[in-house]
Amino acid sequence: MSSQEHYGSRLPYKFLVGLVALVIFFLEAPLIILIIQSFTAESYLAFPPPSYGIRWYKEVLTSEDWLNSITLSLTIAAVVTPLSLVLGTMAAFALDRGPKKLKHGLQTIMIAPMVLPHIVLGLGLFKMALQLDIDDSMLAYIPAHLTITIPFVIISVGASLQTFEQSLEEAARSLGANRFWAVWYITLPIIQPALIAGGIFSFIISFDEFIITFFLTTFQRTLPIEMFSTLMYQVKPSIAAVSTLTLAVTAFLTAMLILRGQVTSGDKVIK
Amino acid sequence: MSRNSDQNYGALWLLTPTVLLYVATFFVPLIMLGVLSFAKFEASVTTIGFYFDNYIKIFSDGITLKIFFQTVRLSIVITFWCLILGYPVALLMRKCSPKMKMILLFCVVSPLLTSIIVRNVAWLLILGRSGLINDTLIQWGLISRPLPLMYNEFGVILAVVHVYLSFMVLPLFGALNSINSSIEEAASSLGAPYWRVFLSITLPLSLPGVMAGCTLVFILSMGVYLTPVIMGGNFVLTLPMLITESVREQYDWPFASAMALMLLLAIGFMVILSSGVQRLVGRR
Amino acid sequence: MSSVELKSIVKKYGAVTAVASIDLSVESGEFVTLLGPSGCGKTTTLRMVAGFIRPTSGTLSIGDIDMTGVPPHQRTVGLVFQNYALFPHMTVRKNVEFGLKMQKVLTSERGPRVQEALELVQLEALGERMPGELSGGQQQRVALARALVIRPDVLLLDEPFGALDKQLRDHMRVELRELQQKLKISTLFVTHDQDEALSMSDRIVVMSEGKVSQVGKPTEIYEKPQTRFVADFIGRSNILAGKVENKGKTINAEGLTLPNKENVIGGDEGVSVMIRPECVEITKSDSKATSSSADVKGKVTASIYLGSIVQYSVQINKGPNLVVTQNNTGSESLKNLAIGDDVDVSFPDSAIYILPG
Repeated sequence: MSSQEHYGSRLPYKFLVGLVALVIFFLEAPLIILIIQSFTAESYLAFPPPSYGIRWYKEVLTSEDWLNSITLSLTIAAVVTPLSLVLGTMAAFALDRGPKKLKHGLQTIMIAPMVLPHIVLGLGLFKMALQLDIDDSMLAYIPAHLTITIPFVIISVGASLQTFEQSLEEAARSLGANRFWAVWYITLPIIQPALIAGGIFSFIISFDEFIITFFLTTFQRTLPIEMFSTLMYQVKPSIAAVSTLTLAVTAFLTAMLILRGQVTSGDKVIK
Repeated sequence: MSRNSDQNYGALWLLTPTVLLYVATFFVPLIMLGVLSFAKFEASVTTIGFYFDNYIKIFSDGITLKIFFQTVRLSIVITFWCLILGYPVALLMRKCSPKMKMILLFCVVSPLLTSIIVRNVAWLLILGRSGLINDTLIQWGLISRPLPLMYNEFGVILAVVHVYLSFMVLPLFGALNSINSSIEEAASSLGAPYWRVFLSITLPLSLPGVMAGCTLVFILSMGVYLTPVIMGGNFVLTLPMLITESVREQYDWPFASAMALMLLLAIGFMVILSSGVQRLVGRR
Repeated sequence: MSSVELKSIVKKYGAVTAVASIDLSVESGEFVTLLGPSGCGKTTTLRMVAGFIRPTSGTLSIGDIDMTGVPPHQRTVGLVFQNYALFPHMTVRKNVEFGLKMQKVLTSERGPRVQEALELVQLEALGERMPGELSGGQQQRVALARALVIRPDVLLLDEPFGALDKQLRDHMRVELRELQQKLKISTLFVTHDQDEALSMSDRIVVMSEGKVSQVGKPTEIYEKPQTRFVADFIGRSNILAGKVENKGKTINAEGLTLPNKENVIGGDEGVSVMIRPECVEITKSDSKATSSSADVKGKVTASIYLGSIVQYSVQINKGPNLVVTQNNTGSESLKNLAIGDDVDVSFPDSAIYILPG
């Protein structure tokens, strides 16, 4: 079906494309400029850079502060992602297989942390962490990040479970698999795309998270926090280099997400 | 086919770890904040009780309320721009070829997975006094002094729209996609010009998506801390900034909690308003 | 030893009774079909035997062992679904092997047994294919092989041929029956298709609204239905309300006088008389024909061409309408009976069946 057939003439469609091109340019151009600027060999930022080099990448990757913050962010994300997948998948199963009457209400509760502004969540978590004297430690970061990543896993896996053919599990059970093994051997491999999507989302959300972690930390610094401090102090090209590195990881993961077909209009309506 | 309803309740135990987590990270902390908002904070000492001090302070100290309304105003403006810019994108995504759809999808989804700091840094380098725009305009001799594109509302709004545009596009796309295109085709075949079809059919039918997107962007804009700080400095004050300052610098938890609750109330009010509007529109 | 025995099995969902106390047994090597319209409880019963539904009360034994509360994975039943339920992410071979893996059969033994199962359904060559690459009929056969390879105590099939086209369905019925008889495996089969039930079963259990209406061999079910429901459900039938008259010598069935050969008493409510349409003969009134029963005249009121048979509605003596089917032998005189034609109607005494109750 040709999209132009919706309109009387081709003009409106071309106009739409032009408009959207501008918006997309607005969205993407700043990032591209940033990436280009990061490859400057000068000690200041300018576009286009007078000379090119990877001097600032070297600086970032050898600086102790940057490396520490990258390591902390990676560590937190690496711990949070599998935990979030396990807990979120369990919750998604509970919602899908549990009593239908309770499903809507329970689901709202399970997704709630996603709807709350992170500033309020961060405030509450900080208070809690102070009470338990676990602030500025992994003991606080992990639960905090889990709270904001699990809802995404629930949505992703939940959507997949809804369209999953349960007779497949029954067939497995009739062949001798108990409920757990039926899920392990049959259901999980089939809903794998949803699990991958949930995992990618969890990782990125945890890695990029600022405000909650900002509240919870005192001396430790995750990558976003390190970037923030650097920004407030002085704008150096190193910030552009770190940003590009982060972008590279993100862009790669997003491409994987879309190519695996998991992000469609139905799956990703965030409410 | 009847499912085995005996075991339905059994599946619920899978929720326990997550529920326990939420209790510790979400429910209890919120209750604590609620309690704190009614506490008294005097000379760095917090006394738990049932005092309205904080709430009174909010309404009477002259600054807090002003900043609150400023935050609301900014959020509305941001939502407006996200809608204006995002609607065409959602429209096109619905009607374009699969390949273009993939590209658009990538462009729309990647912001969701990109660090907000990175996006703000990008704008910093463009809008700053010695940023790209000013540099270029000065070089070309068009202006003699740098334009104030940052540390004002313009810079903040621009950057926040940049961050949250995707949150508008996706619900819009979802709603537009679910519109049965044969209705539009029928109208078109009856002689209605494209703009008529759009105004009378597409737009009204997409309203749920519009409401969802606007509510979402509004909520996010009300609660955003980072971008106004980076792009507005101390010249644009928002409620989240007040809350953060109150806790990290003054250790005035009661006041911060009261403001946090006010933020939640404002958001809650918005949600109720929007679902009320949705129901009204739905009835027509 | 009976392979499956259900005693007073009841299943209630709150106030709704899906199965109201049924007793059923499947003997070793027997092919039993649960037949009935949708909602009659046949699938619920099957799923109780499989273990997916727990009976509200009653006992269920498989192989003489009480399995009432036992979960599905601890029962040795082979289940075949209507939608095949093949694991889409595994090859045919791996699909069939799955049950053996769960039974912890030695790896070395699995290969030969899988091969054996595939040969039984003539799919040895397709072991490495994925389910998505197979046709409906092939998928069904894989499902069968997968269920058989674990050597189950009983084979359970839930309307397995529903998704196949007619030719394939007829073919698969014959294949399944032959396979079942060869392996002598006890089978419980669920369907709403009476042709299927009649052609495949050793015994049929006709169900309606959660209860058993009749149990018996196909010939019994068809020729001697015990209730009006069964008579109506299986095949086409003519059922006339009758009254015993003439000091018990005849029955007046809506105007037709029939001999009371079974000497039924019949109270005030009267009796129901069933005559199968294929037993009735009609000929155009001006050709010579002999009748062994009363000289009955009728008028053709409708005619439906069904290919191998032609179905007529004939109004008898301005009284009841009888449905009559005639085999299409190619004889023009048969096919060309038109609406409004006068016909002579006859049927043998043996075609008259009096429904109990």
